[in-house]
Amino acid sequence: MKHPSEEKSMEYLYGELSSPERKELETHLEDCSVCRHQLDRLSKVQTLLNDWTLEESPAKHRIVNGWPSGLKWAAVSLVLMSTAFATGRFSTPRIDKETLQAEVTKSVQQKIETEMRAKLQSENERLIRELRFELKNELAASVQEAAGQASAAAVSRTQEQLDKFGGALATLRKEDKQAILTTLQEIQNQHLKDVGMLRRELETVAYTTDESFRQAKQQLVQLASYNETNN
Amino acid sequence: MRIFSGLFAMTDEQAMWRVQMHDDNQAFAHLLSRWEEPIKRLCTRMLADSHKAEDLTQEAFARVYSHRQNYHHGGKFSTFLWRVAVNLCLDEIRRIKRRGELSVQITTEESGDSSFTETLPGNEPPPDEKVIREEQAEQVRRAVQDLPEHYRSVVILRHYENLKFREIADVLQLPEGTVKSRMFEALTLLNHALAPQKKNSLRQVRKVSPKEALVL
Repeated sequence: MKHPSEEKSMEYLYGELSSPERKELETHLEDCSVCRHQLDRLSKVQTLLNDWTLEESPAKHRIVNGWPSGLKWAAVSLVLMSTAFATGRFSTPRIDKETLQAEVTKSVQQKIETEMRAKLQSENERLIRELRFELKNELAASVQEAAGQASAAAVSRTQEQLDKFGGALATLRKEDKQAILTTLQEIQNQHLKDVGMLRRELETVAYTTDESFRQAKQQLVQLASYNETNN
Repeated sequence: MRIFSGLFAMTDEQAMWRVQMHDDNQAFAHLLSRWEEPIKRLCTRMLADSHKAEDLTQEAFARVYSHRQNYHHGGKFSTFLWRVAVNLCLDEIRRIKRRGELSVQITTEESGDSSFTETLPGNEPPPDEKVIREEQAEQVRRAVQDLPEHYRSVVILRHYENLKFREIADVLQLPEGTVKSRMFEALTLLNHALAPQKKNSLRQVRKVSPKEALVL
């Protein structure tokens, strides 16, 4: 095998080579002191880099340590109980030992129980608080939404009514106008008819008057001629 | 209960989807609690300044939230987040360099460190081993700080945050081969800087090319 490339060396140092590739490289290292020396130095640098550690922030620590203390107790109790079981199982039963075991188990159990209970309680309280807060927010949001919807609906309803009213008013006015127009027309017609009648009557009157004038004139003439004969 | 909730917890991608679609604050809080520490570590190591690192971490999350629509669901959320954080760090380093703040900051840190070691003996004489370890850590910190940024980001992501080379390539948007060669060159430079006889000449690192360093 040729000398490994820089890339291959890096994959090797950071464990990203497949196992056949790694084996091949390791076989090469057995034979090639130059490569072995180089990788050795770089791997020492890797180890040195681990000296620079950072402290985690204290807040995180508290959260991280929250459960393990419970788990620690669980582990302790497990060890104690298993040793207790083992000693009980493989030794001749003696009363004081048994009672001791029972007591130890009991006290550990109690401790775990109280600790777990406290943890659960605080966890529950936290959850309830969160839930309450969330529900309150949601409720507020939905109320607001409903109010918004209702007011929007009311506005659109009012608008609709107003539109309707406006339409009705317009049609009414149109009808009125039409009625007035027809009435006026009728009045005018009547007026024309009346005028015609009046004229006809006047003509009749004129005619009859003319006739009576002529008769009177004739009578006057007769009267005059009668008088002349008498004289 | 926490164990169970851990088992059934949503993935980062699911949480991010909720943030994108519903502006879900709780999903964002989940992402924050999961990623705040790693991002803070990255920023602290990039800048060697825990206060600035804290600011930048907050800014990184603020940016992820405000650019939430830019996240595409094909990729991992962590890649998106690392990229935002690395870019913020690089911007900040550029800004510091422009202001010439870097030298000032290093000297103040040095004085801070020495006063720390001076006050310790008053309380309780620390064991020699501890002192040596602290000195070593300080030396490593300096050596990493002195690496050019494009090496430093690769070292931090691969060595300290344990990202695979493939992921780092995605974060930095570089070919995977380039990332590996940068890692190789960075380790070579560090080897040179941390070699016992060169202990006091860390500042020379920049002037030596990786190839030369390897020969040394």
